[in-house]
Amino acid sequence: MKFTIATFASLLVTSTAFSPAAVRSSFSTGVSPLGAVARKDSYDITLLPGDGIGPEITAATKTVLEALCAKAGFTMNLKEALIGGCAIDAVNDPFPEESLKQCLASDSVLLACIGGYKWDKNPRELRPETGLLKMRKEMGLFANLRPAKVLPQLIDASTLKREVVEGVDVMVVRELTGDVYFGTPKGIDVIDGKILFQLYLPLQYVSSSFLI
Amino acid sequence: MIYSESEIERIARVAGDVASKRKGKLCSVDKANVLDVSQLWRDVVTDVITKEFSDVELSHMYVDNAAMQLIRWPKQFDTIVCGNIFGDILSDEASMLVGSLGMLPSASIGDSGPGVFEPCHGSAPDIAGQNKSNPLAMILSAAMMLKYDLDRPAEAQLLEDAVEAVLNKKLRTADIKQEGDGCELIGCAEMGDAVAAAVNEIEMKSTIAA
Repeated sequence: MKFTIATFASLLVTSTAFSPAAVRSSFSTGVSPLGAVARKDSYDITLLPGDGIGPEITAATKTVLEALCAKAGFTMNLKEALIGGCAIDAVNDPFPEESLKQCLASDSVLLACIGGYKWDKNPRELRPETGLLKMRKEMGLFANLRPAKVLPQLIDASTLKREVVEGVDVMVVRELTGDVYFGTPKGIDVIDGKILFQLYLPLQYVSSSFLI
Repeated sequence: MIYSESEIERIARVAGDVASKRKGKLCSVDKANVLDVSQLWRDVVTDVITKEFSDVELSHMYVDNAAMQLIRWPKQFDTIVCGNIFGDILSDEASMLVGSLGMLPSASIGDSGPGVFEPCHGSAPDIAGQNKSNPLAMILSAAMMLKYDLDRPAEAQLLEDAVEAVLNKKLRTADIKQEGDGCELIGCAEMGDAVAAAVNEIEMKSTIAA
């Protein structure tokens, strides 16, 4: 039985303003592979300002989104939640359960940035970056999209020659959850008195139907 | 290094969908001449793209060559798909073609549920709270959100056009300001206001069919 995150979100009863997300397209419905919501007039968006310059760029982005909604005639309910260093300071958790619930009940999530010197020496489970990894895992995010588009107004900022970078518009789609970062077994072994770091490469093919 | 078939299939579908919404060219990057799991990657990606995205032109490239080609002639690429570790490296390399970290948006998505849209840059604690930062990467991330998660591509295009309009007006935050460029230095809040004003001024193109 397939148990998707969307199903889980619809089972949650929250006291926050966001009701569970509208029907999303997915691989199983075959509408669009990217899990987008269908166009509608009102969206619930979670904003995660995070740390450092996060709050100020979030404020500037809010100004822009409010202007956009007024112009295009639709609504975005922008609601903030905690993640990263500020979450550690407030509730001792880099990605609190309440933030996760709100994210899952949203139509989409806009994150600014997290981290800072203050939390550098924390144990791993209390570091801002751990909150990010937890968010990606709990929300089932397996694809990272990174566009690199050279704008003509900023072409001189590139370190490469103008004729090489002019008009560059590349999108890198990166798998985010598998590969060497998460493989097991791994570790440091002592062999014949020498300490070695071994990266095991089990060459197995797994053909499966995947329970998410 | 482990990848199951289903893990490769789902990322191939995302890449195929993204490529078909761009220029229809997809380059899959692997190290199939050395790694058996890379050969599996190549086989599965080929299978998914040829069967489900017949409008997408698929090619394959070894990662060492891809790293060179991104510097030598990056214009040959439209969309690139690769695994975690190769993607970590190549996406950072591609972002440096742009040269300004403060301008780079990104998206993390799954196959159901909301995606997360965020700038590539970090929290820059040294300039925090001084109104010096560049909000454009986050604004462009919001544009990606409108395009990929909210089914509003026309609004996404309007945001991107507004950002270019502000740059055409020669307004810059400190990170993208260069000496002698004749541009005016403004702060984070002012840049947000300028983009909002541009949103009001620019005509929105009619809804693009998704």
